[in-house]
Amino acid sequence: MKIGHWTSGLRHRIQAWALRRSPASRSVTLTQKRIYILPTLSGMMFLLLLFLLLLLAINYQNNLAYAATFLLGGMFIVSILHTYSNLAGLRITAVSGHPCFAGEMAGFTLKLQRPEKRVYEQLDFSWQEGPPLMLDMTGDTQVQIELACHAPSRGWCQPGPLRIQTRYPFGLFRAWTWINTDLRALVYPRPLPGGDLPPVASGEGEGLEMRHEGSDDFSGLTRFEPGMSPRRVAWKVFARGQGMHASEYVAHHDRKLWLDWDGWPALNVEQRLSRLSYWVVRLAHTNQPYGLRLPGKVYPPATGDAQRQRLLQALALFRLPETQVEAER
Amino acid sequence: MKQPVQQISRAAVVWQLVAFVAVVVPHLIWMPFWIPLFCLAMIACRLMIHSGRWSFPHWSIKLLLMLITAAGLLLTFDKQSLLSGTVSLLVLGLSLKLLEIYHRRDALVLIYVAYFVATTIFLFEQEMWVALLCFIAILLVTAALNSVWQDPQRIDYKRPLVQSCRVLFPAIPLMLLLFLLFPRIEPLWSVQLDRSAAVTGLSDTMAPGDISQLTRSGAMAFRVVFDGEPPPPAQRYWRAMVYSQFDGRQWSQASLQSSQSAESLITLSEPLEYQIIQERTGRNWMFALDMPVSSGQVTDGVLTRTRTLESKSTIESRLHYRLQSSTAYQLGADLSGDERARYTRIPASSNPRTQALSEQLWQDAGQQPDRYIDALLGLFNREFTYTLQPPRMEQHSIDQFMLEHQRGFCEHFAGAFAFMLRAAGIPARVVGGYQGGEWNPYQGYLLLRQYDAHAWTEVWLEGEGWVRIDPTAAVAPQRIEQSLDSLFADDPGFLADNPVSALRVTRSGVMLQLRLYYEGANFAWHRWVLHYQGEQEQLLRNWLGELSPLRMILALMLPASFVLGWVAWMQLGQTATIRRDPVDRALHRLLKRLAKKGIPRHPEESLQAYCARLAQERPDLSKPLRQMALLDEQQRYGQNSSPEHRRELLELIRACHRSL
Amino acid sequence: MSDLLAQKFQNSVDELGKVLLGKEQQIRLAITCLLSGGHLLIEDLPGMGKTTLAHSLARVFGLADKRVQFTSDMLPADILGVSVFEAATGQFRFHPGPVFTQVLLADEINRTTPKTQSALLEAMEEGQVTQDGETRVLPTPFFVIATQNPVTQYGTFPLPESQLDRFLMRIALGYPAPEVERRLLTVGDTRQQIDSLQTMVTVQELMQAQKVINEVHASSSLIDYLQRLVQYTREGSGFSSGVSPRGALALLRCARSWAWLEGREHVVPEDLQRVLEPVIGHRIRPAEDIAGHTSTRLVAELLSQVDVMS
Repeated sequence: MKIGHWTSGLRHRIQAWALRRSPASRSVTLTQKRIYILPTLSGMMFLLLLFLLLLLAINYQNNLAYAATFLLGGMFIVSILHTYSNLAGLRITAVSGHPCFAGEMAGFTLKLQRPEKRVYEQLDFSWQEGPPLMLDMTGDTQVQIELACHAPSRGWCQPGPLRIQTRYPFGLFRAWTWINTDLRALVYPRPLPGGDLPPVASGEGEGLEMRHEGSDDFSGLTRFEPGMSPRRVAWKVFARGQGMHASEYVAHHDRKLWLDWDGWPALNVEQRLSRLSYWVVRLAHTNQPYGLRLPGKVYPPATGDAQRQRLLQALALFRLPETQVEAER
Repeated sequence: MKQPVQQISRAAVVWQLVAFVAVVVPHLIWMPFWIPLFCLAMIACRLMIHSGRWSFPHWSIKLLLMLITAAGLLLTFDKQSLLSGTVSLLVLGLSLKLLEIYHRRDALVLIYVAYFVATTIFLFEQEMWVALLCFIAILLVTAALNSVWQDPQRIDYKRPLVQSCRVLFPAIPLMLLLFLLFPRIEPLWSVQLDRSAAVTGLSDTMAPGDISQLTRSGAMAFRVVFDGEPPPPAQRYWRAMVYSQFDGRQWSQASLQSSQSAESLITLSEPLEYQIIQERTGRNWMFALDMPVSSGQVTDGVLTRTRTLESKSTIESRLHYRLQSSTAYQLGADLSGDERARYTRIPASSNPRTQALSEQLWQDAGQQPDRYIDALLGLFNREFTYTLQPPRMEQHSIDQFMLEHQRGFCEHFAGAFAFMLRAAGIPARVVGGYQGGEWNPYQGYLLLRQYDAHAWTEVWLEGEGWVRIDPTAAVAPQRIEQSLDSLFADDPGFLADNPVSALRVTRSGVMLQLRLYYEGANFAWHRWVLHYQGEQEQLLRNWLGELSPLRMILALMLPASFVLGWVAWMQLGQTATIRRDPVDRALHRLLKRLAKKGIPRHPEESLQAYCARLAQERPDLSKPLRQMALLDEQQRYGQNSSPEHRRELLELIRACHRSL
Repeated sequence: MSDLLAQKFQNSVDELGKVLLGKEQQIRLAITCLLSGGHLLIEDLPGMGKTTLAHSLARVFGLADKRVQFTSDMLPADILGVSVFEAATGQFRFHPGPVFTQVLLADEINRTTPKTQSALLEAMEEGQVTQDGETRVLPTPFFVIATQNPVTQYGTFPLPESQLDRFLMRIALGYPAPEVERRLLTVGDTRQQIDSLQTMVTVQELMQAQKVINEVHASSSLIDYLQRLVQYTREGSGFSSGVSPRGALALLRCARSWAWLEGREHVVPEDLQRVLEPVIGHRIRPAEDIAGHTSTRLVAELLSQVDVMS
């Protein structure tokens, strides 16, 4: 246990050192400055095999056994270069991070480019907290991958250093590198279903305005067909001698909904944000304009994707520590 | 760090099978037949599983298979054959593992053991073709290793082999370097190779017909490399043992105390230095050109009283040693009473008629040893025939030979000659060994085959010591001058054991050349590869001068870094963008120069816009700049670019560069 | 022949310049857009001369033009036309709307409802109008000049982003330079002069020019540059969505037209740079989390980051 703790501490220190050597940038080409390489466990086993073969050669004074041992030894050495070159020259560009809800995986788009004459196989990409992604780059000289990272809590998800490693072609060595990307993704509060829409505080002039009749917008004419209500005949048009037409109306339900921070007094801060997040998602599916009131900030009602994103972002970054909000600006 | 269990691709499974077959194939030369059959069955099973017709076997079936193989191994191998037993065990284990490979870990176990098994073939056979097979096996196993690390979803049968070649061929120079420089260490503990059947060759005793049996075989006995010129054919007598006792029928070696020092030797000529590469005999004796000066650099060889070389242990593998010999010498000037008695002793009752004949000739020669010897050789010359197929001889074989058949092979002449000398009271003994040999001009060595086996006589004469007299030379002088194969080429007894031997058809012309060439290559292989430890020190001294650790490390590191640098360049060289176009290159240089002068081009500026800006800052250059911009625009974006334009543009760029 | 044709277009730039003082750049862009066979969106405050530009353009090119002032109570039928029941024949007869013309000036397009907007945009995209199950082809050339007020103005329905790229270009006219404005003030309103503009190019010549432009040479170096530019918008951190392949094609088409208008037979990077903002400005979207990024700033960044020479 203690040793495990110590080694993981050491690994972090090495990683920190490696990252200091390579400051964050949007686009990185892997060179020897960044690539580290060490034998793997199966590489160690291979060395043991070489040792056994050498013993065999020595004890039987067998020169061909020596030769075979040295051939495999040469292969061991050459495979260092092969493993190294399976990483070197690769260009990685951090493209963007995609928002998600807390508890899900945030996706980050990376673009990989290879020099025309080089191929890369079995590259293993991973964030510190996220599933690895294995990839061969033998076809297109440029691919985009989406690499997921666990996003446990709301706010900005900064996935930490990106690790790229490979054991190809013989598994004897592992070449790896850490890259600091400046990628981040917005993590919305995890939706917490339940609760009713709170009654809107009346007296502010805004809020629930239900107008069933008289407020519908006239949107066009259609041909009058038997059976239609005579009240819908466009008499003005008929009077101009342009025939029988029926007016079409579009029902604009001008219910302006407000989501209010104070709507669920029983919940604590995070739960409230989650509840609000749930309602934003639900209301985004309807066509009704909705707004949000947070302490100190009011987002007027609107519809559409932009509104949904704006509100979710506000919820995600609500009362976060200074540094995180700074990052927003 | 927890590693998830990794499946391997279907192509990888096929590669495991290929690797397994490649590793087992060279071992077929020694393996008991049931092991390859068992392996074939396992491969068939794996293929059935691979094609989805069978499922992976139940553990009880695996247990049963393991018991079967264990029983088979116990029945087939005993303690004497520990090595072949071990290798068989590994091979069978691999074949059983074949049934299990599904995950990367299993495949890795299989591959690493396969590397080991592939190498063990050298403990059984070390010919060139075996080395080639082993290299192929390693190549295929490496391909299998690569296939294991491929994308499990990817089915690409060819790529692993390509990868394998790309790593193994650059490894060959590294292998050669290490092979040349790696110090050869004495065995850390003693190991035993398996004994196998007896080999043809000389034996401890010599009875009539023994040596003529050897002419049936064309097998190699030993090879000799001389430091200087080889001796003339008439002096190529290779001493193996001395038969000093005669029991009436066969000659045998005396059991001498090894403590006795060798008979004294006075060399009368500059000693020849040479190296002998002796094939396995299963016996103790070694070979030396008449007359060895000392046991030289032979590690466990001993010079016996009769100046033959004997190894302390039996020779179970090819042996290399260096010797010095003098072809003109005086041996054993003094003969003690004991020895005189021993070398004149003959059973009183044996071969009475020959004894009588000797007595008569001895008297005719006036009891003068040299006249007696001349008379005997004259007799052989006149009356006797040299033949490969002497008639059978019963009791009193010398009597029959001398007085009835008068036909025989070298052992008959040597035996009878020594007998008759002893009968006259002159000390004599028979020497067994080889005579002659085939000179290989390509590699400069002498090859002695079993059919070169020979027997001759040594006579002790007062004041001269032991003198070599070859009675065969009196009967058939050409036997000594030429090689046996030219003498007896058409004799049905010659090479009777190898009826289709290549030696039969390669006695002359192109075929002979080819055979000699092949044998030469083989010899070089044996000398420089299989017995490299014998040459290493000398070779490295020639190349590096005084051997020091520093020099050795330098000799290793310099070429190795060259090789690795080359590989790295091949692997990575393509990353840097090389501007091949001279115009681009010149332009690039010019822009760099301008940037240094403080007028850098902005990224969004095209060359034309840049030139226009530049022309304002440097009015003196405005004309060439404008011209350059125009030409470059035509080149880069226009439709009509011609070589002349390019040349003109290049000139302009250079002119601008110069005038800066 | 081709030179002559180009010269005619060159002359028409000068002719238009008589009315639109000090706006040569915008005139060229508008003609480029017309030559490329795309539609033009002019975004600016009221009173900047949007309508004047549209009218003069139609006049100089001898095209039939109609003007529609979009209002919030406008219906799709008011633009596309309407089928009217005729009592005499007992049948419906189609009354074509103003869209059936060669140059349509859609004034203040963002004042009307999304429904009406998309009716027009669909007609622009397909070059035909489908009503009551009947398809009617619009005349060629069909060129829409839409004007819109800046989105921040009150009482507007911004054009949906997905439909913005129906317009090949989006340009702004901007305030006149002081000396130009002074001339404007002294000479008086130039709008009366529109009627005195001469027709410089015939419809046939316009169609011919559109064909010729397809043959303007774009070398591989230029295509490389274009690709680098487009690529940058797709991965640059300031962009939330980059230029689509359709946008890249539009860019090349406009650069060709611009080059031809300049009298060249090949495209140079400057051509591309000139049309870059008008063509891609409305196709890219600044990343949400970076405040204050306008498309103009993004294009400027794009130009300064992507090297012309590789």
